[in-house]
Amino acid sequence: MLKKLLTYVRGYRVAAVLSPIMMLIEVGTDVTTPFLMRLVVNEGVLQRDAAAVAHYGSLMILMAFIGFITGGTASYLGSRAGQGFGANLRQAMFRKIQMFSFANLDHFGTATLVTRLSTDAQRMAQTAEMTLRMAVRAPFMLILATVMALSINTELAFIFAVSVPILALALYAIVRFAFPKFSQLQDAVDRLNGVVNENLSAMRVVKGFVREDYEKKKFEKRNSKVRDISIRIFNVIVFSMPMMFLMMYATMVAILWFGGIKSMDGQMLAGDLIGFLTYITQIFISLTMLTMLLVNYVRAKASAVRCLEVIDTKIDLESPVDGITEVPSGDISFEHVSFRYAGMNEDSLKDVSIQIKEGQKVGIIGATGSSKTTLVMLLSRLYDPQEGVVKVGGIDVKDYDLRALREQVSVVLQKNRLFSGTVRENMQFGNETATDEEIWEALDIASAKEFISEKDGALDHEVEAGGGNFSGGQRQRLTIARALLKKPKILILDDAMSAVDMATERRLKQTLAAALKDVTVLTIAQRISSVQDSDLILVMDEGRIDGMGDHETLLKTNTIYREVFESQQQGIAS
Amino acid sequence: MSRRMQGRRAGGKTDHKPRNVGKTTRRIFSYLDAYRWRFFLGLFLIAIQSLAGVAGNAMLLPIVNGIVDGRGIGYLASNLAIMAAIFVSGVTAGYIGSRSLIYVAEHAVHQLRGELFAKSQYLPMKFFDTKSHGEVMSAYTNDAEQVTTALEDTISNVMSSLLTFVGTFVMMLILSPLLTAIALGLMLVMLLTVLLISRFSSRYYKKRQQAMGDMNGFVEEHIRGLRVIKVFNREPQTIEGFSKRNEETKKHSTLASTFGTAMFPLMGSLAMVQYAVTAIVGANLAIAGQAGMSLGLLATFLQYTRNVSRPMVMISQQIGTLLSALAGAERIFAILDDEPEVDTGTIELSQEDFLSGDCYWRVPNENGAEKVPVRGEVVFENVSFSYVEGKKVLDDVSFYAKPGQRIALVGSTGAGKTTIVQLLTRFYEIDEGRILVDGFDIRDIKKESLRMLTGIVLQDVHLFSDTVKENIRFGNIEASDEDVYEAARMANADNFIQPLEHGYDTEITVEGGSLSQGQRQMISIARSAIAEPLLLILDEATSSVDTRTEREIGTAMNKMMEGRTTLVIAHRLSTVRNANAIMVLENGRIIERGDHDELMAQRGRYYELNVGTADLT
Repeated sequence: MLKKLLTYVRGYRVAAVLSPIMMLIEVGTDVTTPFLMRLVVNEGVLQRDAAAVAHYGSLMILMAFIGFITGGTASYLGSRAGQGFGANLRQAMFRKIQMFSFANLDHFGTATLVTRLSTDAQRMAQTAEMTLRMAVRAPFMLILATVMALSINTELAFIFAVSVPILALALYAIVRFAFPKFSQLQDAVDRLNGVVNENLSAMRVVKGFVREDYEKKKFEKRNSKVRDISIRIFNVIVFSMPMMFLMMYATMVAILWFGGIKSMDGQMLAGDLIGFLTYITQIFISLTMLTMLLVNYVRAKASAVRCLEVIDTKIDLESPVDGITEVPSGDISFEHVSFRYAGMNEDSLKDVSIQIKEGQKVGIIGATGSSKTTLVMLLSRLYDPQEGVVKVGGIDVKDYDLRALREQVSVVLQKNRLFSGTVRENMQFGNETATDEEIWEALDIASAKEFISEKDGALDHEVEAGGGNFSGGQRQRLTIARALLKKPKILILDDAMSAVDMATERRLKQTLAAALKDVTVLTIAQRISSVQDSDLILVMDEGRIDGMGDHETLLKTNTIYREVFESQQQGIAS
Repeated sequence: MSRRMQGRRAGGKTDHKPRNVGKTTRRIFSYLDAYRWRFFLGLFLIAIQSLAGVAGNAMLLPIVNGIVDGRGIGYLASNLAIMAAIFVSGVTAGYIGSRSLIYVAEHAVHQLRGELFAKSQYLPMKFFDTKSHGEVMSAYTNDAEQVTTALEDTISNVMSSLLTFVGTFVMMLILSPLLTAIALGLMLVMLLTVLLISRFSSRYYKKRQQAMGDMNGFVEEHIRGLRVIKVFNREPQTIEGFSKRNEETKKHSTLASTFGTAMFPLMGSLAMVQYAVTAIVGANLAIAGQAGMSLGLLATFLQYTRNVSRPMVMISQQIGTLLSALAGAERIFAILDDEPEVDTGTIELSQEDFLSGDCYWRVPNENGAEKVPVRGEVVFENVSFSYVEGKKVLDDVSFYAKPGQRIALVGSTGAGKTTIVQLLTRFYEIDEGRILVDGFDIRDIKKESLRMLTGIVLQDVHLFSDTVKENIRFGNIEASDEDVYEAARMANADNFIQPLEHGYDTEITVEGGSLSQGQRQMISIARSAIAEPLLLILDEATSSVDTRTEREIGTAMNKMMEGRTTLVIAHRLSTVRNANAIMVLENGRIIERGDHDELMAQRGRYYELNVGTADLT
């Protein structure tokens, strides 16, 4: 994992190497100062030599200066490398996600991808920075301070040999105990947030059924749990600080005791003792820093796993090398196609065979869950079937260059979206080079010209994220216009007019039919009225083609079609 | 472009400055009332810890001098014993103090979160419709967390740093006024440095937050829209858009964290200079034997010098945390202070009778209360309403539904049909006119009673992460399991619930559940059925269900509508045919009314709406 992560330091290697080196020098100056102080006392004060005091004193100031320069540089380089690493990681993740197939997307779900890109990647950047800064500083400080202490007096340094391991053990125990609990806390917090989130989206239901008290009780249960677990964990965590102080003070007292006796016996100079005291602080501070780093690593590890999971995902649908870039015609054929979604125990499409000729207008009808959407998604190769062959223009879709195929097979998805930006920018989504004239033409065909021209700025009108400032029906017409701009050979409308009212829908269908004479159009719809004029209508039922034919034929031969038709006719006077 | 950015800034919260520090602080402290003694005990104990640290170091003076002067082991032992005692009591006090603060903070924030949730249950729908989920959620997550941290750590840290600083300074002054004077000069330099760097780093921090907000917004939008991006081959452009924002974020993050972290080496170096200068002057004084300088005093003084800079850095960093915690608290308080739904009605449903079928309005009067039978009549009298001032969604709408009647509202998208539900349940208040239920103005009826009386099935189905059974029971908590099964059977939901792996105990999940949209709607219909409302509102309840399934539900719905006054808001005209009366809404006005046959004969808008299918026959 580490090796893999290290590749994202690319471009910041110099900073990543230089920062610890600078840090090292800074630690060196830090550790030298008490040593110099010891000389000030031993050779200056005790020998009554003012020149020695001035000499070692000015060396101390020099050290401070070097420490300042190197420390500041290390900070900058560390931030640069750490944030650079984070940016590289995010970039790699985002790039990878853009390559995801629909199946890959189904596997992750969008919510977690967003968190992984924001929270997890940010934590990785912070950890990288922290590592460059502390992971070098703390151990070196620990080692150098110990070496210095040893060089002053080996025997006294043995006190560290007792106190440091005790503290290390205690800190380890705390971390070991607290960690599993942290995930419990995270769980409890997630549950709490889950309740709030659901409550917010279902507020009309809650109010409508007067269930405020019920909801409050539900929340209270989770809320208390978060509180109780937090108290339990933090009570343990805060124990690490007194533990650290206790051991530090104990060491200090022990050193003053043994050192004091030695000093009074004349085996040790007072300056040695004073120098020693400073090293105690440095050693214990490095130990706490190491613990913090360790704590952070455990949390960062989870983030690293989540980031790398995205990057390491195998894209299960890729463009062939030297794929065909031109779709010769709008012919479509399905030959014994079966398809199953990952994790399902039943095929969603079962042995489907269909032939559609260029320019045909095809309607697809069937109950919810009958796999209408699945069927059309195979055409622009959003999924690959497990069995059988899907052909467009007489060629297996797997042989096309993926981008070329999707350029020429245009889909208006059921769950469609507009993006924040102007209307023009949204339209150019379909075709980057589209002129205003072409855009207006597409809008006209999609019955969207009227309401767009009424908006402030017309094509320059800002669309909110998700298209919130347009009604459902308007949004659908805009997404149809966007798809038209691709000038596709095949156009797929997946329930794309469900929110459009009937009168508009009728008009829209007429203009579409007139404008798209040579284009093969597949329309998925709930209402028979939306598809009854089609050249060919497919009736789907539980992943199978239950019937095929035009409206009149199906009325005579297909039970499902007839039933649906009759149920929809109830609203009409005889 | 610029307008887009503004929109995002208004939506995301990058505000780190509290508006009224004093008032907010007092209000936060009011949450500590119940734990007041624990809180002050905690602060007191932590104060002892800081002072013990200062006092313990003071013992270095007699100890070092004792060693240098060779006063003997006994002297050393007794002084070390005092030092150890001071340190141990300080550490113990600190530990107990921290635990007390954790207890207090977690309890206070628990209460705060509880109040926040409770309050939001009673806020008007307008609040939820105008605020994004993220905005409200962050009150529970970020804001509450910041308040916890402040109560648990920050306040005590600031206090303890302040005490350490003052304590150390006083000790230095006692030990050597001369050396303190020298140290003071450098301390001022340090203080200025801290202030200067804090200013820089907060400026870059703000920029970083903005860049990050913009980047995360982009990520959110483009990952949710990824399927569309793929269908349109827009991956390269999207990656390019991301790269730009990623780069921007990196630039500002690097600067922000450079300034944030450079504080340590900078202050460390200044402290070292101070240490060196003090050492040189002190050593010279000690050599010359001037100003009462001894080696012990110098050692002690130097120990303090090392400690004096840390509290300054600490305080400067914690102030920022404290301020953003206050800003967070203000956002929470703003929600707590929002106006709740107006509910001044006094007329109630007598509930015990309601369930048994005999149902009365309890109308208070001078002699107690009068019982009026519930019939289920609805009248809209010249009702006008607008969400945004000046844009009337309903304009002078009048209609009535007699008890047991079925009234349908049709019209194109945006004609104001759905608004009628919002008004009848008083999710929103009307601007003009009156709405009457059984002759009472709905503003005089208790909201709880009004909503108990009405059952709504909405187009967007909202189920909860719980079992199927509990989701249905949500409609009536007192319902038995048998009632749940019956309601499910009625909504035609039983035949798909039974085969589920755990039947009625199957957990419903929010995302990617095993239930289809239509099945979820049927569960929500069962939920309404079990509530046995007298007034039923179906807001395009079957629009997400295909026509065949709709027909299956149809019988159930018909059964449910029997004997109940029903308002049907329909998108599909097939669902309204049997209505007693149909209102056609356009631009907020009723333009046609009558039953199906009458309206078809009129050849007006209703006929036009129908023509799409009417051409068939």
